[in-house]
Amino acid sequence: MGKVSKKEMPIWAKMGHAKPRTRREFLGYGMIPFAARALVPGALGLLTAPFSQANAANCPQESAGSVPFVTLNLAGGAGLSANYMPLDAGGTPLASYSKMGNGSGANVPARISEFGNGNFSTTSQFIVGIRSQATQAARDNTAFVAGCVQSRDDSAENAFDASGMAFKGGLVGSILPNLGTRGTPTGINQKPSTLSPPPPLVVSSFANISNSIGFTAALRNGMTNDQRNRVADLASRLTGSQARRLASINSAKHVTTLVECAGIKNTELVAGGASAVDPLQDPTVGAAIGTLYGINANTNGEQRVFSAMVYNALMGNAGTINLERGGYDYHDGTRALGERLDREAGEAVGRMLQMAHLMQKPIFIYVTSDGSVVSTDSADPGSNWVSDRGNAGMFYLIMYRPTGRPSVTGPQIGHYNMGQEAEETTPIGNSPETAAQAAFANYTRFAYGSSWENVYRKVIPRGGALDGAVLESVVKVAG
Amino acid sequence: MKNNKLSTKWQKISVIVIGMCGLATLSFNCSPALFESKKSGSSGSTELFSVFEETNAPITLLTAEQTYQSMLNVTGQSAPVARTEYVARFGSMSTTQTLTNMNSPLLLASTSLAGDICNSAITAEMNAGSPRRLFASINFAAAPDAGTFQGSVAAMAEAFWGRRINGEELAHLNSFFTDMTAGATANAALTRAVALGACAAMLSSFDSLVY
Repeated sequence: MGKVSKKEMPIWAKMGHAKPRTRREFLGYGMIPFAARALVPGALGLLTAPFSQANAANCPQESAGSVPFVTLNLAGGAGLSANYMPLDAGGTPLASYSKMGNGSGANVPARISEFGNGNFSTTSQFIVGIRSQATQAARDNTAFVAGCVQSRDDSAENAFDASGMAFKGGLVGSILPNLGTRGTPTGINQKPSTLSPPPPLVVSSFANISNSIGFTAALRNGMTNDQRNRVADLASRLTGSQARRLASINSAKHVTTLVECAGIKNTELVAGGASAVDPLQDPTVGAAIGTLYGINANTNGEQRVFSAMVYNALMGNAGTINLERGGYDYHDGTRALGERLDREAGEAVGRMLQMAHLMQKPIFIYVTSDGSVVSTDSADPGSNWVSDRGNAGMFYLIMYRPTGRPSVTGPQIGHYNMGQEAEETTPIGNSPETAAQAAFANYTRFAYGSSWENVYRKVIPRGGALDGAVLESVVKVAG
Repeated sequence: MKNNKLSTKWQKISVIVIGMCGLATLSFNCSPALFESKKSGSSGSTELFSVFEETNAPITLLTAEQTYQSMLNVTGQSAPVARTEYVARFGSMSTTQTLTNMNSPLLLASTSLAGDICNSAITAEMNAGSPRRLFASINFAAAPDAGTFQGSVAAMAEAFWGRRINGEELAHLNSFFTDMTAGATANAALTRAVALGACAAMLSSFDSLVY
């Protein structure tokens, strides 16, 4: 081998090393860092820039025409199975409802039909409440399915919340995030099933909604509209620029998009105003909503909050809506308290149905609780609520469609057994988490029609608790 | 002959450089395990995945109270100003340090709160004899001036972000100044509005809300 001049020596030889063969050796000799420093940043910038800089086009878009998903959680353990009288495995009435406040044998109250489902107790105050608020026309276009599932009494540990699944399925608000009424990760006193939802905006007054889409205090008082818009734009640009550095961190890179998109959205919101989210300012239905809820612009409290939240869901402004009413741990040795609260829950649902009817928009309502109640074991109906009884748990699915009543293949998911308990061996019987998946499956069938399973599978891949025939058995919505 | 030799040499260099670039690109950030996401703590047996799980990135969000206190501190407020605005906006801000809580209402609430606090800071610095830190060079009795504006945003970057302002941020702020002053009546009110807007946006930008 002839002598190699220093000029012709490779870099590694000049540096006194053996010929590098591994990546570690390249790194050790300082070659890769040098090459990367010299050449990669520019090239990498070209590659990554289009993905790291969000714009309105690649931010999550609201799904136009999506069906609102509203959860009404009755915190404390409502006696839902006393209002809808559950059936056994054969689809026939139980011999006795004595622990569920409806007596036994010939004393069991007659069943009445509502929403095309004929299994409500004639004494159901929930139905009384609905009928007091929703017109016959609204109820005629509504379907109902009950779900038989045991759950823990007086607990925040039941994974009934389906808002994370609905969000992942595509239900995204156009100007507001998911809304909830309680300061928990789900906005209600339920844990998320399957997927955690994005953090909801906690709404305790209408101002929480209206303030969330604009500036107040000094920026409102000391600036013109145009100036405020420019501040929102500047804040958005600075935040987007600063958050972009997270794009290189695997676990946080999605935050970059979230933050950048939030800033872009804010620029649009500030340019708008509270009228976009206030049902009372709706030129078409505002007055009717005011009458329905008994509210005006100066009203505070539950009716103002619920009406605004449901309205924004129906308008597509908000994603999932999680409402909560408290006090449903109502076993105080009487029947009166429970009857009143059941009626108020029915009124809340009735108002939602009626608002949807006024606006001619579909709505999917999911009524949940934590556990249930037990009455004095009596052959006579109307016995008092005396304790908790999560074995007799239940949820409701209530669906309104302006073009006609949705068809369902059965009145309930799962069944009750002769012990007057939700049967544990059904696919959902002992798992609120699976029950929430079943509720979500019915929502996808209702909202997405024949392509429902694609949406469901996008959220819950095969291999979960509900697959194949089991999944089909819990989907009662048919069209 | 020399040309052929040069050509061969450059071919070898090109192959090595391209190869090294490719290797460097492919192995870029090759230790994601250091930053892998932490699964959320749900006890649910069917917890399949969560797109909003917590991260263990080296950045975390300030809670509502921390944000408020931080804004007061970095603007040099000795009294809890803007308390009413803070209370009104609390529901839109985060009660935890989870970075993914940084949503649209939180950012809007932060800017609104920052505006109220900046307004107090401007008022305080305008008082005769008061120390001027953030708006030292701005003449609030005169029309806006681009030079003094830049001096002020540099001071705010140091105070709010703990670092010098970078070129991209400065470009955004200069663009803001131009937009705010273009076609507007150049007077003292506009000077205050420009200072207020820049302060509010900087005090509620990402780097002011995380640590």
